[in-house]
Amino acid sequence: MSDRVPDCTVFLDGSAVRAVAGEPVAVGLWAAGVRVLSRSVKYHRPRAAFCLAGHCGACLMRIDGQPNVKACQTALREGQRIEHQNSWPAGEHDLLGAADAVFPRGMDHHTMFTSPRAANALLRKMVHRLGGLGRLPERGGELAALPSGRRRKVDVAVIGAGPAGLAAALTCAQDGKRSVVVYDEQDRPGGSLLSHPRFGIAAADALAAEARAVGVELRCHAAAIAWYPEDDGGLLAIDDGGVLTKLTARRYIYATGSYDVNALFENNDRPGIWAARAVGLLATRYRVKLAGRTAILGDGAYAHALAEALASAGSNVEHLASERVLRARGRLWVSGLDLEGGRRVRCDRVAVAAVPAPASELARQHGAAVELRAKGGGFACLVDGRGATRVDQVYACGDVCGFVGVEAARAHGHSVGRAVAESLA
Amino acid sequence: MSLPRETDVLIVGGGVMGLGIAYHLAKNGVRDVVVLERSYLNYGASGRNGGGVRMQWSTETNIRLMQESIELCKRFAGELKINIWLRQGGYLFLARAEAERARMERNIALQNRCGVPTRLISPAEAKRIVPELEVSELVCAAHNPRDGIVFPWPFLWGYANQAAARGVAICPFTSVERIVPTGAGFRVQTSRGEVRAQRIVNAAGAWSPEVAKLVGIELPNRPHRHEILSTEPLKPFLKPMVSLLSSGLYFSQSMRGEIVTGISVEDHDDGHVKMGSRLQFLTKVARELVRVMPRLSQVKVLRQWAGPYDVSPDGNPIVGEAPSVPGFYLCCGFVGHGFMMAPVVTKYYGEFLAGSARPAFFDPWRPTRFAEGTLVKEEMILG
Repeated sequence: MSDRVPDCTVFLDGSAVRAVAGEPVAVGLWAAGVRVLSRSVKYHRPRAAFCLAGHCGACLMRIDGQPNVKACQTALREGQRIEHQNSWPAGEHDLLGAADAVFPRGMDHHTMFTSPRAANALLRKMVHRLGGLGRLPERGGELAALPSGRRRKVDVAVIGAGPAGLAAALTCAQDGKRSVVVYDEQDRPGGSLLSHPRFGIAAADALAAEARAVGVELRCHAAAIAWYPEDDGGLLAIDDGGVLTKLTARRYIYATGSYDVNALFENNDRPGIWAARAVGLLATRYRVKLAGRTAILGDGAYAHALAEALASAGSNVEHLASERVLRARGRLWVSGLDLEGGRRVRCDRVAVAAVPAPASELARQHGAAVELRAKGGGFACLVDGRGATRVDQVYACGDVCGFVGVEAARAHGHSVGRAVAESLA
Repeated sequence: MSLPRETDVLIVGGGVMGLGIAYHLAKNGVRDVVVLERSYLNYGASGRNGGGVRMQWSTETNIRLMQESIELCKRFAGELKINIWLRQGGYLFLARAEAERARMERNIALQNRCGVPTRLISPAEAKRIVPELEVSELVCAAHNPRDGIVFPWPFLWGYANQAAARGVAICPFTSVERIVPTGAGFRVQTSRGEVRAQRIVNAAGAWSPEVAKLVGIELPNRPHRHEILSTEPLKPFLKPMVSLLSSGLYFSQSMRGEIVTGISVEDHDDGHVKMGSRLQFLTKVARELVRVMPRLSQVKVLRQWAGPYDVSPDGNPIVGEAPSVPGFYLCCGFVGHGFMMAPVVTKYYGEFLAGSARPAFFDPWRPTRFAEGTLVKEEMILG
């Protein structure tokens, strides 16, 4: 059951909305009945949160005067000003959404109206006016307020505080002989533990506490943004709560996990179609009561765990393990799915449990080899039995090496943590 | 595309120069043309530049050519059947030092004589054009409302598609390994077999010295890395391309709403093309940008990348037939402004190779000028 009690008031396009302070804006607005959070850039299709992990870009809103802010990564607080973007005339109402209906087969703006010149000039004027997403930030900072970077050197840097990263860090730090720091872009450690109904916050906090107990430093709201090979002989740039950290380490462990991906069917971007792990977060981390019916797509272990958890919590679940979905129904929110063979399923939300894609780009930037896994959602980081990539001092573990799920990722983290400790002994 | 065994004109470099020349050759009846590109089309500076097109230059040749190039940009969509998103929002050059004012005045006078409506304006007037500008450090500015920006990629699609439609063989992922002059042409060994060519055009941009070496020519141009970034997309608010003469900072807003900005950063010159991104650049450009546009301090950077300028000793291109190797033509050394000049340069170059008169710009840009010591320096080099 839900223990969420609204305790603050925020303003959506000027209207008061009651919400739970500290929850993500995307979750609070959804719980308050707001359906459309954003509009796609070109066709103005309605969009709402899909991944709740800051990776899909479907929940960008204007928050307190800043454009293009991820509503799923921003905590609600009293008096916050939240606005829809890229809609006309305003808010949830967007007449430009007609573009989607007028061009059912899409419009190729590169080749349309190339002549005559007057038509082309008009097209350019229109496209220019309609281009862009959010409006310029209300305020800019003073130059003096620009944060300057700080340098940091550690023995072991772990990127990602999910099951693999936390396990690797704590195994590596256990003998107390080296400094280990874990960076994670999310607001708390746990990664995919947080969205898994059998683990959740308690398991995440326990693993994080275990790591801290052996001296691991955990830094959240700290996104590793790039590996720069040429600056000072190579450094990892980290946006650590808005301040740049230029990090060098004797060993780097990439435990960046995996991205949620969508399944392919018509209108798969309808609001109400979530990544399964986002629905897991709603139920497990945010403890939102899932009223109505949830259709779960997919046959993996996670899909089954989620179906089981929702059902045992009394939620109405339709688990479509192997059926092929043709299209989603509903205009501003999903109302059902058409399946191959003519069957129609009514639902109030969809949880897509496709195989997540390894978040391998940072390790790749650092020189790790990757390989396309046709059935594994994307490019997996290649490592040997010790978790070592082809680059000296660079390791990887968990889903970034190909999706394996929470438990296997944690086990891999332990073994790679051990190998890294040995390499430094 | 299979590699032809023989051709009239073989163009080395699948960037905007090579593809533009190929298109204009084919349009003028020379369809026996092969374009070789070592990587994907536009891999070099053609696919990495900021898309600025301006008439504000310090030499009459460049001013007049760019007037014509921008005219050609206006007609590009109609002729090549693809939108290049030309937006004439102007170019606004800002000066921080009094010493820059004299140079600006001199260049404006020359531009005005050529018919370019550039004006010297006060910092207050610059602020009327870009209200977000911090003008307290400025002494004056130069503004030409007819300069603008384009989206670079459609040039490639337009030239390549229209050239291919007229029979040009465009071969990406094909590198040139050896060139043997035979007296009546060349035998060119590539990674995908041999091609015999009557004439060769070296349009390899930053790699053109390497290509020239294959026929024993030492070119004086050097590759120089230039970095650039783009931000999150914002609704249109910034009209002109803005540039600071003192630091080489420039920024504009693209058709998609991103702020696209770059600046010069020190680099060691080892003669090799470098295209890695550096944190040094990111922090430098962020500081300089926020110094003139404080409102942008919270805008998020989405990506950064680098591209190679093909830098000649005097800032001007190297164009024409190589005196020591007949049939080997140069079209390189464009120092970061090759893209904007490509519409006009490739038109005349293609027509020339198809039998028309030698274009006027072949004279000031002739390859022999370095040995002769008759250099005319271009001052308005940015980035």
